[in-house]
Amino acid sequence: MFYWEDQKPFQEVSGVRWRTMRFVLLLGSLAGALLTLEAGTRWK
Amino acid sequence: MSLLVALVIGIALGFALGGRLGHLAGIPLRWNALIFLGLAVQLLLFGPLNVLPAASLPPLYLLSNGIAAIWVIRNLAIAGMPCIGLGALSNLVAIATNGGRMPVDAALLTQTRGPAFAQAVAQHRVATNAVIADSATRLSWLTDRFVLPPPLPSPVVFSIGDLLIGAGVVWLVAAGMRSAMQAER
Repeated sequence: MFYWEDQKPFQEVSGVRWRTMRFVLLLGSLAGALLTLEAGTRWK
Repeated sequence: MSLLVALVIGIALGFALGGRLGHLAGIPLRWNALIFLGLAVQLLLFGPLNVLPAASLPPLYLLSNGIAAIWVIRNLAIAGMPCIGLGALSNLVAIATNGGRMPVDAALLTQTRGPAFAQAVAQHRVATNAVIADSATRLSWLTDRFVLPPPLPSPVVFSIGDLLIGAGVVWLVAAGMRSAMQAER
């Protein structure tokens, strides 16, 4: 993969930011799973 | 929305067991786009836009659950996910055997959402994935026939499958907060 000379892959630029994104993605996925799979509890 | 409380309970349990919130980022959930795709389909069906014809509701609702089921199967190796899968299967069977909608106890729906809404559901005047349960309902023990008691906020009618899904999420979150901690030792 090509990077500009002063650039690094996203994960290397900010490990904290990458973990935060993963954390938010995980919580979002679980919330989405709850909303999608729990038939009948949220759309009525 | 009340069952989202499972996330909060899971995090609280994780802390109680000595886990750390940051470890959740290490849970290797895969193919997460699928769950958002399933949710998007349901938002199109039941959201404020409500642009799709009523006849398309049952098959598309089943499709959204099928998409979510693929996500569950892909992540079945993660602690708690088998419990979520069992709950999802329970709901899917109840919906599929009842014409693509989840039967709901009329008295409990009236108790939680009021008589006007229950009547609207009974007369199919509102876009919803629910149908009022009656004597023709199949596998009624898998349908929405329980209610979250006070003091939990916004009471909602739910099924055994919903309960299993919620328990699975609690398990997944609490175990995820702890498992990374154990790996560090």
